[in-house]
Amino acid sequence: MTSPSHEPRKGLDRAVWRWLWAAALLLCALLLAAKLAPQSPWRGAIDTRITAMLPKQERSPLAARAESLDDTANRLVILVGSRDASAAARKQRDAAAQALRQALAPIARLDDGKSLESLRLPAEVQPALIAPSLAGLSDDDWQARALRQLFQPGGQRDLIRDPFGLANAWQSWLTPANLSLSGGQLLLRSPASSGDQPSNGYRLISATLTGSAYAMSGQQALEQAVNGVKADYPDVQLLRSGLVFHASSGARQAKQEMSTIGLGSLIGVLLLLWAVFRTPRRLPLLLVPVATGVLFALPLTWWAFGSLHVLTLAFGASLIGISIDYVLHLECMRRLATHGRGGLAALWPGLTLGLCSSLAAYLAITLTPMPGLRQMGMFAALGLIGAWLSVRLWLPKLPLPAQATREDSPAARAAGRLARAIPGRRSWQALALLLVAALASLYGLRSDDRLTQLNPSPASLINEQREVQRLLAEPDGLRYLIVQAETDAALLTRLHALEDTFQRLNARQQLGHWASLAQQLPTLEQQQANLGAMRERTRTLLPQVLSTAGLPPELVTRAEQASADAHPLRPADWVALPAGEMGQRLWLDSRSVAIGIVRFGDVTAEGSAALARLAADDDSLEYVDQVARLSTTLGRIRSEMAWLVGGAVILISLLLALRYRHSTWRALLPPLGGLVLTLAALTLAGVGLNLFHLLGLLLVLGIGLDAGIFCAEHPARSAEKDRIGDTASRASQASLLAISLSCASSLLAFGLLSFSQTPALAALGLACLLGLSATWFLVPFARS
Amino acid sequence: MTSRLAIAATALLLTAGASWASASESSAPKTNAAKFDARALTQQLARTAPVCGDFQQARWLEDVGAELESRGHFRLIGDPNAPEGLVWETTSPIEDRLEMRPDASQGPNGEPLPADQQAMAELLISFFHGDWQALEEHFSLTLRGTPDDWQASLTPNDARLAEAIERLEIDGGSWLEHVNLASGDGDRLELTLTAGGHCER
Repeated sequence: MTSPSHEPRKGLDRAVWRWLWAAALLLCALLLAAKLAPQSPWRGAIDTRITAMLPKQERSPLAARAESLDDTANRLVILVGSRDASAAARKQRDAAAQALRQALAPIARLDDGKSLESLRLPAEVQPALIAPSLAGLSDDDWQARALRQLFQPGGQRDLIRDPFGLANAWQSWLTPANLSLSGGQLLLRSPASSGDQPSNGYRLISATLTGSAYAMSGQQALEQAVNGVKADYPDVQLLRSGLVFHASSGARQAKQEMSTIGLGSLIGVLLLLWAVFRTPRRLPLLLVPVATGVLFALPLTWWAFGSLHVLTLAFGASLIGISIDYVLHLECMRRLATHGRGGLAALWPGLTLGLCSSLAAYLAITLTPMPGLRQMGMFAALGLIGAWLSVRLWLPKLPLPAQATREDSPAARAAGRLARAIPGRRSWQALALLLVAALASLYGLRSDDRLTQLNPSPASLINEQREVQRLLAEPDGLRYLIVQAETDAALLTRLHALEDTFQRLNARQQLGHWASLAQQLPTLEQQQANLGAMRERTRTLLPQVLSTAGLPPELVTRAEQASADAHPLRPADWVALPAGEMGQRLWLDSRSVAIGIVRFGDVTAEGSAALARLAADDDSLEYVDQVARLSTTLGRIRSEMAWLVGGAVILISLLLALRYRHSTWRALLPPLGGLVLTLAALTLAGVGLNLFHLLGLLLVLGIGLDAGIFCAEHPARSAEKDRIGDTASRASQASLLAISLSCASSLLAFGLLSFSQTPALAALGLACLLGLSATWFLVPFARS
Repeated sequence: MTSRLAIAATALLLTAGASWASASESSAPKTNAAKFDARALTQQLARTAPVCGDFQQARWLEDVGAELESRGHFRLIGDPNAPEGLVWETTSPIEDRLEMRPDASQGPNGEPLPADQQAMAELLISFFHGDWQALEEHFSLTLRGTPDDWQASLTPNDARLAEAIERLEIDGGSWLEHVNLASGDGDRLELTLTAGGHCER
């Protein structure tokens, strides 16, 4: 490690290592190409879900199954509304809906494209299912109904097996009251109970994407379809619901920010380096380590995790800031201290220690159970290793231009100016006071783990989704109740009994809507009673109906035979029917017990608490609140990470103490002081600490440690001004310039993230902005 | 959810299909009166369509091998040029009055109209007031005859519609006189319409 770069070459200075590293990078490039190429069988996906970053294991096995049923990632619903009530506006709306259906047809399966006959219930279960609207009918009413069904256009179609037209009434009952069919398309109105202004209604289009919701190509095709209709029908209102819209907006936002914030910081860093070094042709070379770091880390992380999270990518775009440290130290040292004539041995220990301390911090977060963080940690660690290898193996071989090493070069002058900032007695007193005040204010530090804080979707899209779910009374799937019973009959009875509880919560406005099998199937006792009653009616009422209609009386025998063959519809059979698809997410298939799921939508905090209480005293019920669970998990991980990083800091401190003994404080002041000052600033600003602030602080720690280590390696000499030619003093100035450039470039790279529209990245950016400024501010103290 | 929507979409769900216009015009026999095509028929029916009238209905139930006959009146609700619905009043052999409003979210008794009846109502309303534009989205039409004596066959151009309607034939003179509808399962519906003496126009 500490071998001189003169002949004979030893260790890492041997040429074979350079070639090996080049070969490794070539391999990485091939691996990356396999992930990116459109036709590749290993083509990788980019994930944008916050939940994808969370651990999976914190659920009961039943909850895990219940949530796997609810995997609606590819589902989408679009409501098309008209601007006003005029016939022309309605016509526009219908035409727009029609155009949208056609545009969607190549990329999605429309729900109403199914075969109609397949959706009818089998005739032999119909007598067990009597719609509640028919419950109070007298014998005369039943006869009149049977006759009407025979003569009305569009009346029942099966005189033998459904003479009383139960199928029509059952179908109407299952169809939401605010949903109807007109002009060949579905029309959705505001629910009657909502108290909304009567609207013209929306055309409803629901479909399932044929590709993945995360695939860029599918997202683009969908976006084109929707935007095309928007452009053709500017007066029509579109309400979108479905994960794919959020994923697509997230991907677009990430892409856009990577090109604006990412490009902005890159240009800023390049300008800074140019101003100091004035060797524009060397600038691209300075970026080689960063590029190779990303090239090294990206394919390996992608292959290790299968899919790549968009936050990992954003993190990667920011990796530029930290791995450029190594280049800066090397460059400053070569220009200012060694005048390009080798003698870099003094640099390598500091650089290696800087790498090790950053690795310790990043590897600490790979110990968390959060897949997203582990991905980030691995990505950052690999990227740093790659950049370090390039700096160590390749860069010292590049010749320096002659004017770069002149004593009066802009870099040397900048270093000289920076070195003049030596804090005096008063400054030390002020710093001590500041640190004490900061430590004291940490008492008020609080955390904020609410998920809504981290939702990267734009508010308009969230509102559209909410409105669609309200109009459709569709549960969002985030809160649900698992109900167990010994048999399917007992389960249905239990579910029907629970309806009363939900009705009460609904009346108290704590629960907006819910979905349960009880809304789709009567209890089995009720179905048996229905069967008995229909057999009786067939026997006693049908002869009169037939004679009035002028039909042969012997048909009664056939109808009686059919009703004798009829049987109840059990939950397992219902969800297996094409028409029973709506029950599939409400029923868990199990051999030994019967398990139902009630899914809720629009639950208030009180409602959620009431449901949790209901389940708390009952072994057969399990209430799951995914929102609360995610928040708790986020919080737990935040504190776990804080402990891990704290542990890593102690470990690093011990490591540093081994080398620096009584000057260890120099290495620790910039990183730890930076952390304390940032936390204090966040506390005083009333910002609750979340996971992403912590991630930002982790970066501050990494950069601060690099700064601190070089302050300890090359502290300012007391007689610096006099002995300007001294090599050690030159090395100290060079490292100060490198540290300053590192802090400034990292501020550009990470600080700019505080302008991100993605809340998670903005939190990270804010922490970096504060932390890096504080670190830089502490550097003169650490080296004096 | 999914099939809740799909159930609602059963029966004669008249979804998008290719426009029939070009096909029908090319298939109209050239030997007939030069200008008598779907457009001319549309205009004629829109002009002469009755607001109300009498019907005779014969319904053949293939399954039981029997025919049901009934008679009564019908009447369009609302503006004749843009009707909101249809009253179908059977007087014999039973007395029954059915109000069908496709655009209303609920039927007359507060319960939603079954999808089958909903779709049938839309079809009949389109026939009566001559809204061939609405029909042309869902059927290909072949027209024969003259303005005083014409016949038309409507073939569903949508597979799901074809499940419910195998063949649909209409004919008439100055206005629509007969509707014959054959379902895939062998059932048939025949309507004979006459201008009623009791209603205006």
